[in-house]
Amino acid sequence: MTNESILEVDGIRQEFGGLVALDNVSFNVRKGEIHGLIGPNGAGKSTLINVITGIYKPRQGKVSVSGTKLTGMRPDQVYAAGIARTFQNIRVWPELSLFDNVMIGAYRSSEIQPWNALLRKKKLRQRVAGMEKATLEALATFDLDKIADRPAGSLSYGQKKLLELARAVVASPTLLLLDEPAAGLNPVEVGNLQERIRSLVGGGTSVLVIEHNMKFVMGLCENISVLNFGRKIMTGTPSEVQNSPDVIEAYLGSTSFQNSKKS
Amino acid sequence: MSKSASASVSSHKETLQQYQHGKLLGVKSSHLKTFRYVSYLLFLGLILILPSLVNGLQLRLATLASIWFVATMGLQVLMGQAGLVSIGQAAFVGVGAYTAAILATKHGFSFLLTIPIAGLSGVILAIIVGFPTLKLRGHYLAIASIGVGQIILVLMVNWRAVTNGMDGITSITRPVESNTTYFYICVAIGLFIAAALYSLRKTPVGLAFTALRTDETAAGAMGISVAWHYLIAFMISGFCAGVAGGLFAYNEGFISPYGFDLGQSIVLLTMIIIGGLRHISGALVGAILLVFLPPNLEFLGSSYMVIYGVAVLLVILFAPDGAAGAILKLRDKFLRKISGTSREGVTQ
Repeated sequence: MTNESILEVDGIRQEFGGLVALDNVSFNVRKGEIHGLIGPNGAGKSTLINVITGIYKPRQGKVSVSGTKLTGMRPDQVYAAGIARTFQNIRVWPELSLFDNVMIGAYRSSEIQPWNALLRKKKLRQRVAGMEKATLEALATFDLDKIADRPAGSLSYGQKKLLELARAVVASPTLLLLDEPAAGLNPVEVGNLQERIRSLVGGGTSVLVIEHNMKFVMGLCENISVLNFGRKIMTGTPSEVQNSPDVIEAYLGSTSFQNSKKS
Repeated sequence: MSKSASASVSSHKETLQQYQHGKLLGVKSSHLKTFRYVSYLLFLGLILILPSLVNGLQLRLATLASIWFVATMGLQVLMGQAGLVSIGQAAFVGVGAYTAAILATKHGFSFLLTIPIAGLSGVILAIIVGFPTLKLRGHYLAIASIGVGQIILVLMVNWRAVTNGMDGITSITRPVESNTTYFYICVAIGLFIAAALYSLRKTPVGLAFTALRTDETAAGAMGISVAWHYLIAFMISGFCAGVAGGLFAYNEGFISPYGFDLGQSIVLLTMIIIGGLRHISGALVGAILLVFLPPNLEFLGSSYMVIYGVAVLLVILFAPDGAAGAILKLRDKFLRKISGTSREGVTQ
């Protein structure tokens, strides 16, 4: 692991009406790192992911990946810049097959124009073949290739989570944003997931992971940033975070417990 | 990626190809292929002998059906694939019709030129209209499309220097005398566009439309440029409408703003909903049903509209996938029977 940053989040502020969801949040994800993002419900974790991926435009601050400024980009441009994500509430396309779901992740709209369907069919076939190959490899990585022809809606919850992962890695992103990947998985599946995420990092991807499962986060991440009420409390190693009085207060609550109920 | 992954790629390529030819339906791919070829041949044969089987009025209706088939295919891409509702399709047809009519009568352009230019006029209108309206979704877009349709209608009525107002444009001469030949021309253009749309649907562009329709946020996050793909769908829809308008102008020989009002937009919308939103063939089935049913139900007299309305309701209630969807379901049932397979047995 180097000290070179892949993702820089700098002074992000996001408001919904009068509610300040994120307030001056800054942290870095280093290249080749698995970085955890934790915090109580309503702390702004998913909002932050939506800011990074361009779904929300922040009021202040900027996000950049490998020196490229992401703020102001559309979600598809962020994806093209090498950032892929999964969703907290699974978002696969239920009526499409597993293959087609992952194929959409592999599709580069700049490479295929609609008129290619009529003219230059050979060029189209070549490019589609490359995308199909990447799709099948991604499906095989997550052991989904044998059932690639099934509609995604027929999968179990755990398999849908794997499908989202396969879809997210098919374009070989430099940074992967995982929003509660372990939620709803049984302990065996959680263990498998840890292994899969580690092997992705071995393949050159950096990971930012939001998760409530503390055992999962502490066992997987090299660094963890903690959010509470839209503010960053701290960034540190798992043991630093576990022993921080601020973090313990945020989670177990002392005086702030009554406030956290409101959010 | 692991070594085993790349080794299994070639074998699973075959699996996927099988699936694309009907594995998921529980149907043997060879049966499905044969069925397709036979039905295509039967359809072509029917088209070829149709003019000799029917009287002049029915042939006129068949020509109209093939023209509305072209316009409705555009709606299928826009609504059925990309999920955008437009209640202004007739206005796009009108712009195509006026473009073709003006070029043909005032500037002496030939049919071979006016029809593509009519299609292009639909594309240009789609781009102009698309920029402000494609930020809207659902009901809001539907209302905006009505507004666009009304604006274009007002232009047709009041921009007399170009459109000749309510008097319309007369004496548009067809490239061919014979009704039969013109019918064949319309069908050929319709089938050519259908073939192009089928092959587009098989590319990732078609997948992107489905992705946008079912989950726009996920589609954007997976790298699909939302605005660009909606604009593509809108341009295709505009092109189909424009071409249909050109064919319509030549077919009638006379056009006025009457044929391109809100009522006609709703007829086109009904065609694709009755025919089957999810299938390109739904445009064909819907156009045939809505062109042939009303005149052939005239014997019912004043109760005609009631029967017609009930029929439309029944289709929506019991065949939400439209008439084409129902036909395809019957086809799959038949093929499963002769394949001796069950849907469950094969997909497991």
